[in-house]
Amino acid sequence: MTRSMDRRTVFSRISAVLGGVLGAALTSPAVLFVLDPVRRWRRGAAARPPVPIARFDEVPDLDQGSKPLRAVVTAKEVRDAWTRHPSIRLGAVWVFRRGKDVTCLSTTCPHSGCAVDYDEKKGAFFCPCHDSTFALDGKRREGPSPRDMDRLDIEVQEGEVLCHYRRFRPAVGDKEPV
Amino acid sequence: MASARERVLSWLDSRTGYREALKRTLDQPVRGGPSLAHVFGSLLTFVLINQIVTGILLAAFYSPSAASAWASVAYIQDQVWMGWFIRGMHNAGTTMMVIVMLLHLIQVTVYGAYKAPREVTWLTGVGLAGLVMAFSLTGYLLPWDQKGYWATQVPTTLLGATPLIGPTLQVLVQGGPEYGNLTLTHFYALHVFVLPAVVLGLVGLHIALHRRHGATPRWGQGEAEIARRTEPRWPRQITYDLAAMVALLSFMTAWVVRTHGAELTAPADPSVAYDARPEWYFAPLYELRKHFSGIIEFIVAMGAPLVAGGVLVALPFLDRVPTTDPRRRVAPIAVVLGGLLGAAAIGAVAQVGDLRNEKFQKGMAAAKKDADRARELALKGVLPAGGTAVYLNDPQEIGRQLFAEHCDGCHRLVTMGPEDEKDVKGPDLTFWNTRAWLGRFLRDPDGPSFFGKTKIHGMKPYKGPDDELKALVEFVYALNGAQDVNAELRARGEVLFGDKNCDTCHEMDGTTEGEGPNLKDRGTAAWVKGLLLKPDAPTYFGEKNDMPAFGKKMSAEELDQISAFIAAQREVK
Repeated sequence: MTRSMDRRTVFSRISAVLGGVLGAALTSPAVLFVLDPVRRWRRGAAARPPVPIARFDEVPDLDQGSKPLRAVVTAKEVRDAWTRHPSIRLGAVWVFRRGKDVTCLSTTCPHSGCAVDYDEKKGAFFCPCHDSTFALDGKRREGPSPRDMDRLDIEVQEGEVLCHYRRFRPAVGDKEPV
Repeated sequence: MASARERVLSWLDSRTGYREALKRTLDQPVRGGPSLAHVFGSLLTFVLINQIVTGILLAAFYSPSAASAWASVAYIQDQVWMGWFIRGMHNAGTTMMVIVMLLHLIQVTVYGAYKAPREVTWLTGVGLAGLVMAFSLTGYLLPWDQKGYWATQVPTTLLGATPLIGPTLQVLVQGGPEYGNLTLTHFYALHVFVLPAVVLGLVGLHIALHRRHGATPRWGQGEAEIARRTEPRWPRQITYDLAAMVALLSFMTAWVVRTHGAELTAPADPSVAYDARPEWYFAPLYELRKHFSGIIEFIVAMGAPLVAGGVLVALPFLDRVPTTDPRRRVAPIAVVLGGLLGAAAIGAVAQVGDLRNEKFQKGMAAAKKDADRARELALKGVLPAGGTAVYLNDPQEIGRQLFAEHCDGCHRLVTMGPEDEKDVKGPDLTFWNTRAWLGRFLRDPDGPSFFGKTKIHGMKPYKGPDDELKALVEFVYALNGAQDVNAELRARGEVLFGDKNCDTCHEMDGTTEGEGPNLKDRGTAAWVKGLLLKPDAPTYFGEKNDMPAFGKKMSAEELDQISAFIAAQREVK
């Protein structure tokens, strides 16, 4: 091996080390930075208090021949990254009762996240995006939806229906909160 | 048989020819041999990559709107993982870009590397230098903080002062006659799309031309010597380049860690003055403007950079000596170095002036306090109005706004309250319930700043000696539950309160009515709230009261906020 070959090898190795240092130094903070939303998500959000969606006596009674009510879910004090919303719309729900028994279904279709509508003629819920249909109790009837409509927990306090509004992972068979 | 990796690479090479391209890059001959003098171009490329990487990361978390820009930058700076570091590296990269650019300029000038046939390489370099300045100007505004907002007024105002087309030009750049959403979106578009596209194009040209003509070797070597020393870029020159990059990156990292990233001042507020200074490399221009006025000032401010740029553009065409030896090229080198030294000297004058300017230093310290407060409050999230709405996270600020809404029609409080003395209908609440306020009140309860303008009369002014007054004040002051009470003085005041018959009219149990208000817990937020709910209650001012009740005018939460605000006036410094 000639002397100049030796020198080439030495410089090549130094270069490889320096290049590695540069690459690592540039990318590692960048990776942490972009992972910040993932870190927050894994840490888990603080549980949101239930939101009033309607007065109990406003909730239509299907046994009386009424049709479901589409109620808007407006929450207070919601954080969105840097913004603090004193009041903001989180989504909508279908709500109705049979006698005392209140049912609250998310309008978000479990298939692809479109908004589920109510078909008055058929007396059923249906999603206009991919034609999934659901019975009034949210049970899947036809179409591509992998599961029933997502039922939301409610409680009734002082004549007010409160909804524990959540979103669930679409496109999977099981109802998992996001 | 060739390995799978080898086959894939061969396939790729037959379709792209990457091996030859790579070889051409690595084996490009460095005329006269590798040298540390040749690292500056690579260093600038490296800083450019740093700017692109950190810039894209920042853009993924930044919101270019007047309502959300500051809040999103505060979020990056104080809440996102390594956000302060990424933002700091982007900011430090700007300064490094300018420093390395100047070193590159000096090296090229001394080596005569701009001489034929490299004039166009030089011209693209001069263009790039101008673009770096444009990057800095547009980026400075993006956080929409006090510093960026006020400092950027200068270049946009100058633009507007251009003869004939100035005002139109300014509106075009700003997106309107005043700063607003469109100013930010315009600057953002320039900073992240337009300027990078132009810079990348020019850098590509600059590097292509550099490859075509090669490096300029150090002067004083014969052709034979140059040929003997010439080596391919790989590996020696590239090792030098990488070593310089590691050194620069280490320095930048140390600097960013030490300063905890770039400064973020309070959110932009056109009503709060801020003594803004430009980035250090604009300091010479800033200083020059102080010494001229009128049209001359405009000519200097716009003309000085044009003259400097013009000299640089003309340099390779004026320096026609057929050698690169600096000893025979004194004039061009003197012009460049002299210009740089002159600019540095003028910049230093500005710097020294600021250091000696006590008012400026005090203003900076006050601005730092504002910034710290705003950023602390921003941790809770900023209301959708954005920017200065961050102060509404402070309960005191909400109290101030409620006071302005409900109380300042009758009561004065520092700068709030009726402009006309005759509209004042209640006590002046400036520094309400401080010892000084109580002392003045006891001396003159019916005075115009106290109950003089109400129907509440009859309390006798205290005419005793000052030391007794002090004791009485301490006793009354202590009713608010403050921690800073002088117990001895308070005890003496309590005795005096009985001896001087204050207790004839003022009960102390919170329930018994008297001629004057019951003084239990007087001055606490709860006591203030009770007063606001029912000022004519027998334990407050009874029938003499003419202040409206606020129970129906404010929500329960607002009542708590305003009561806390009024009770806190005794703590205002």
